[in-house]
Amino acid sequence: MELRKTTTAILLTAATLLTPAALSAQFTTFVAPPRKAAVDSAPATVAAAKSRADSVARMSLTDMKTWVDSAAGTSTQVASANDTTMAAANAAAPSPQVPSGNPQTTTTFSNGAIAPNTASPLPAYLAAGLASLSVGLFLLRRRRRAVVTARRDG
Amino acid sequence: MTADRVKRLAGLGLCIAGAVLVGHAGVQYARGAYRADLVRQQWEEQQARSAVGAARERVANSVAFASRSVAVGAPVARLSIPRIRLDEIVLEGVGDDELNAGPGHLPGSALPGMPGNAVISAHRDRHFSHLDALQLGDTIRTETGQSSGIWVIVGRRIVDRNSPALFQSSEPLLTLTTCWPVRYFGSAPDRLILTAKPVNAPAGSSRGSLGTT
Repeated sequence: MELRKTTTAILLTAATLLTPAALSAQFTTFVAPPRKAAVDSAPATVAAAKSRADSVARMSLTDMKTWVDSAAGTSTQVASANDTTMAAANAAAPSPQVPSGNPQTTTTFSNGAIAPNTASPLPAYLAAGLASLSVGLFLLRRRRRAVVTARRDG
Repeated sequence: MTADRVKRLAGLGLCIAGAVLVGHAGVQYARGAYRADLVRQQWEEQQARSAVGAARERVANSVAFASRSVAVGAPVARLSIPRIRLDEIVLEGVGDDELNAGPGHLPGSALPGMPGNAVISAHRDRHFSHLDALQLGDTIRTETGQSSGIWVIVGRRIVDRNSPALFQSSEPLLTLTTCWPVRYFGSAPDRLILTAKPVNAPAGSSRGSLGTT
């Protein structure tokens, strides 16, 4: 009898605590999404068609990073094969050979090569080794201190 | 097995692993330093042996010299950058051994001062650790068996490690590359590319003697 009372009390307490949390989701306010305004797509279509026709705009949109790199640096410029404007301006410059696949190393120079792999794992090895050594020494020293304390007390 | 025993074993294991890693890195750094000293000695001996007449002859045939192949690992140039107090002997090749010992000259690229793009690379944690401090207008000095030259930095770019970054040039050009960011734990995702042109280079010239002193 006593057990049943206790169980009932626990269940009631749990229900009292959990019910508001469970019910809170039921009372959220419904916010209607803003109605989409009727957009006239004609200007966008015209702009897209103009962009396709304009080779300079196309280049800036499709190959911006390379274009900025080549404009900022002193190296030969990368000209899009279909871009008549830039290709004419850089007719003398050889087009770079973009490496196929995902090469990670460059051992010989070629036009358009990626930079040599100068990444070195040694700093990571050094840092990991020092961290590991520190933790190891800490564990050993802690155990040794515990042994000395136990001997002194016992 | 008690908790104390586990802790002791874990501590010992971590100590051993740490010692192996630190030892490996230390040995590699020591090997690099030793090799760098060796290469510097070779370079100085090479410089001392070169007679004036032979040097003049090589200058006259500089283009032929530029196109000849150099053995990987051999010293090819001396690179000094006053701003970051760098003075290193450049080795031929950009393999692990070469870059561990010093800046590496990318095979196939021109030698500094010759017509074309001379590419020199080094580790960001070693010889080019302060390359990020260089700004446009800073000067670089190179010395090869034929000539010495002063270069001024005219370009500074950061590119993805897999992006095309090196290009041919009809004029003398010096390109220094290293990993970017310079302070980065792990394999750096980008590359820092510095380009320099010879000082007092006449516009439109394509000969290798430009900017040499």
